[in-house]
Amino acid sequence: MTLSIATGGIDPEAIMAEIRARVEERKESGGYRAYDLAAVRARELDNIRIDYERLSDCLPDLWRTANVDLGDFPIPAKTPGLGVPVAALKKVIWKLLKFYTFRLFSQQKEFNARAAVLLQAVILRYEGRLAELEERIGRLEKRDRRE
Amino acid sequence: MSGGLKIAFICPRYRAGSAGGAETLTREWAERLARRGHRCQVLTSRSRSNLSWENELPGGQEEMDGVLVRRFDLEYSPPLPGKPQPVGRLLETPSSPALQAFIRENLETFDRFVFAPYLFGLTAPGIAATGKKSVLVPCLHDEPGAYLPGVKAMFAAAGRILFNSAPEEKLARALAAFPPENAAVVGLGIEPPEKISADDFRSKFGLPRPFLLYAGRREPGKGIPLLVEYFRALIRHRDPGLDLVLAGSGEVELSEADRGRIRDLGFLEEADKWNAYAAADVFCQPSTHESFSIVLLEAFAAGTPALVSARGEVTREHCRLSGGGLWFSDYPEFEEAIWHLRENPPTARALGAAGKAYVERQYRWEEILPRLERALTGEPEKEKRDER
Repeated sequence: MTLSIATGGIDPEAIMAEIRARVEERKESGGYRAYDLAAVRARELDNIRIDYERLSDCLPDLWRTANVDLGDFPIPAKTPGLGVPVAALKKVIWKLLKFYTFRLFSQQKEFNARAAVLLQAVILRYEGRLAELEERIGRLEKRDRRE
Repeated sequence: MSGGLKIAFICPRYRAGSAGGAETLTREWAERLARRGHRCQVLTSRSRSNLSWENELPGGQEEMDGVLVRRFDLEYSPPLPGKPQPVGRLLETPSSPALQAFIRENLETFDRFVFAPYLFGLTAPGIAATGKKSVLVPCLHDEPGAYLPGVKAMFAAAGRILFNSAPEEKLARALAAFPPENAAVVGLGIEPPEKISADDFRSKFGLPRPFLLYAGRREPGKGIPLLVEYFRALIRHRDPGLDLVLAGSGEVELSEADRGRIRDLGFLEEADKWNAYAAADVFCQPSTHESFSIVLLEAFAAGTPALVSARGEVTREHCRLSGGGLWFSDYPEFEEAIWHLRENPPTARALGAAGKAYVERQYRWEEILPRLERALTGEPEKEKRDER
């Protein structure tokens, strides 16, 4: 792969750093205090809602992997004849390795459960934030109507 | 390349009024490959609308600019009134049993079956049926549908995967496993017309004041409501003396009070669209759902600086790599960026020039088409890519 460096004589990252610094300055000096951004926040909320829905979609799958059964399971012979000794060999290997695989699988299950709990917590925080923002927007809209 | 490929392009809509990115890409690729000696057909639906998916256009086949277009009936189960389509069904509907039957009957007729985009019910079953001959052009972006389990299976089954941009490929790699040698970044060529006139646009539409432009489909998913709301806040709190001009298909909700400063021009003809890019002081792309963003690159090609959403991985990367634009993550950054461009005309001009140079360097058809042919035939890629 041939790489070429695009400089163009201008650095947008540096301009953005300058812009962010000016935003911070204005925030500190109360430059946005008089702003009415209720409608803007409502639109930004739409984007948060999309993220929230995506997280919610993932949770059932994660719980399914956390609830997987680690107990013994039948190892049937898939074909007659050679299939029977192959299945017997698999059973022996399963039993021989169980001291190790059980530890491995239970650790994974534990990890999945913790990840599910963590995701659940994130979703709850999203829900809380959504509710809080919706309430705030409602308050601001009421105030606007009064004015 | 010796001997042309026989290629079927499968796309839910084709030359049926306003076009999204996947339709535009399919048309450009099919027509340009046909001119280079490949035998291209498009298998598509009779639908004009990506909302109602009604079978409106005549069925059957017709030759359009060197490409044979076959139109099939769609079957579509609409969501409940007022509700969006459930995420779980985004890879299933609309579907076309007739189109799938045609594919199965013609597996030997074509060398490649090119599917775009990953969504809707034509792509997943088509890829399953065509296996190694399938080429997936996902037009992927970070949205709920991208996380469906069926997407992983689709990427694993596709014979080749062609991305529009490096950030799109990066997202796909985070979501699904596929061999690196099966993937390539291709994209589209951007070709401005020979004559672009900012003055023609300003006089034709009566726009003497400086303006911020959005061009493209006007749908909530494209961030238009957010842009309109940001602009209202901008003129209310710290007016930079810019108007907002909106162009493209779809509806925008504007109040009477908005109309003094926001102009909705609706769908523009090709020449007017390019003149609009050149006339704009800043082009704004608020969408976070882009795999390429044709309109952003067209604005770059016209030499106009851009302002994009920081949450749009692809558009922000174009701006970062090119030096052609800035980005905003919230309202204060949007406001400050606009003011920065208004107060620093040399910076705005330098951004515009850098964006234009980037498109000329990276998105010329003379480079894109050989890259596309190599990707379709499976030849190793030697692509040039900007990196910082």
